[in-house]
Amino acid sequence: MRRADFLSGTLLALLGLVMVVWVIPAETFSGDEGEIAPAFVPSVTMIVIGVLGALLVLARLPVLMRYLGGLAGTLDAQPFDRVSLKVIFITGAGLFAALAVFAGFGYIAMGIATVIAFSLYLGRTNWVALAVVAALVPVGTYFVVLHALRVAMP
Amino acid sequence: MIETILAGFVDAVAPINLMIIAAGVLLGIIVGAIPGLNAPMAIAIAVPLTFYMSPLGALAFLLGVNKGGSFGGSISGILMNTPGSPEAAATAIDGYPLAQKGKPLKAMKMALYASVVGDTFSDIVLILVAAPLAILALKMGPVEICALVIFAFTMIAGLVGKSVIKGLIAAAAGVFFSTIGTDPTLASPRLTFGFIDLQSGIPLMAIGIGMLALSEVILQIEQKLRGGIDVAILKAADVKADRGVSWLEFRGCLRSIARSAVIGTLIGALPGLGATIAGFLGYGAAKRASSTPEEFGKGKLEGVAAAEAANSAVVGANLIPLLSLGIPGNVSAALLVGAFIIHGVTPGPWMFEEHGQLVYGMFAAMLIANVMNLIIGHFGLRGFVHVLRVPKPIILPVLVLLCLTGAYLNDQSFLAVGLMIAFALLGYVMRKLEFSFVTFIIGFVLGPMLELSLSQAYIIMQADITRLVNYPIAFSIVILTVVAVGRFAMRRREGEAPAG
Repeated sequence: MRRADFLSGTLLALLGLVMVVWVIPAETFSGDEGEIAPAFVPSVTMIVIGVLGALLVLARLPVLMRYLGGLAGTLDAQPFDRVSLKVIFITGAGLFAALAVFAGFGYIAMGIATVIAFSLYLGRTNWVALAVVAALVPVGTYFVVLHALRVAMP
Repeated sequence: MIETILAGFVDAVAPINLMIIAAGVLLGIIVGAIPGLNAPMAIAIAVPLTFYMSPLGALAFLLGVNKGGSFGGSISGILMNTPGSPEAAATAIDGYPLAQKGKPLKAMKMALYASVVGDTFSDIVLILVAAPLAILALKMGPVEICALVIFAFTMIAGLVGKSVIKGLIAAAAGVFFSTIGTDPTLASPRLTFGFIDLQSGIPLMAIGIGMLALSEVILQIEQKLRGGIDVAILKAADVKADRGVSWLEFRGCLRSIARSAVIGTLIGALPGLGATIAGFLGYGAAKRASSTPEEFGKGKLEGVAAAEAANSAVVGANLIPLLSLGIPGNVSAALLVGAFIIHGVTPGPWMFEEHGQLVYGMFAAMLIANVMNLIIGHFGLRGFVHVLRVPKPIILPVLVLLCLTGAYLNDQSFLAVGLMIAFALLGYVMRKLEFSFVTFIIGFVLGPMLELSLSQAYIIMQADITRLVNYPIAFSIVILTVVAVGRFAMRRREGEAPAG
């Protein structure tokens, strides 16, 4: 995790800086004297994140330096390999696509599409079971929500 | 006072509430039994559904889920050596060898009985301790509350996860996201980037469902794509004595159960320490006190009882800091804050005065949920085993759909669904990088309390931090916080294993 900590610490330190210098002042009103300004707590939390991110980098730096200098044998494995990156992008795209179908075509269409798409993605090949689940769960949930909770979903 | 308590108890035994509690317990056991799923995840998805229930019904349902989930986790731990929830890991140490010997029903029944005893003990402690602590808490002013919240952050950041620095970063990020919306001083939009829907802030349920439930589903998808291992489910023996727990066997474990119940209750009452560490501490204490420690790990019934009583005793006790101080001690308590807020109740010491009937109704519901857990668990045990046979490619897509539904139901907005998906991806990345999502969620829940108390303290102390010495309680808490940070940093440097 040391290499990942080094990278995430660097990113967090930069994020803290960008947020404190540009984003927070642009997105908050300045307060009156004698009371805490609206920007105070967001700025303090971002300063804390930036400083702790820098500390994380400093804490992992000696090991990395030893590795680069050839004194330490190997670094630990990267937490994100090809499979996890694939999971992030495909699952993320699938979820946002589900949201688009939900907004455009309604809950039942989204439900059927989501169950079928994710089941196939996970390797489900029993079509009968898949069809039953894909039909029953979204329709059942829709009617439970409609009649028991009295919420009409799109 | 007595009338309030009685009225609360009468509310809890109303037929509709009894049915709601039973449904919650049943859902909790089923979800807890599925490897990788746990009670907090079920609570996160269920909170939006409770919007349409009465306040007591909603809380009783969620508490039932929590209690059922606590026991449910042990089922897959015992049958598959794959704990349904992390806290059942200690239960599996002796539970799985017992199942291998053909005694899975005996192990599961002992887990159930120990779980109910431990849970009931901690509920009784909660009932006895929360109100007096709340009276003390009401005497605290903004300066003390501010110091206490910062102390709670430090404890949670230090005890959850592997790194204090990462824990504090996660807590600070949680507080940051809680500031998005409308600022409490000037009521002006803050960090909303022009989105009008964001002016009421990020819904807690978008974060809860996203980071807790959907990000776990994404992790399970990854595991499945890597060719996750299918584990065989062990079957019960034909011998009748191996299918149940005799009174003699239960009595033999009573001392360990009692010891573990005390350990679990103490652990649960402290913010940051969770059921997982309680389970292992209870198990370790039973092993040390045993005259035959060498039998532990090889299928000793006492090991199952000790671990399960300890991890279940956390469930009631973790409401002590929430009800007496308004500080959620763990992620389940943080999600319950969402349920309280949905019903217009702000959790904290003033609840006993403003919503006494609801609080005592909730206490009664907790005790009833334990009885339900015993009954449903006992008679449904064979049925719950079948839940483990449902393939992941069916369960996971259904869970994805339920997460999308829960996020939409919260305030019927697509923005909430989009935010939930974004937080699920953030939660996945945080889990991979070992940043604690638990600390993040608690930071998000405590953020508004921190900001309010900080702004009040700022005015009271006239922006002069040296005036802190005039507030001995707050000053002592600040000193404790500094000492705690130092201790955590030293411990990590010495390479000790982190707790929780």
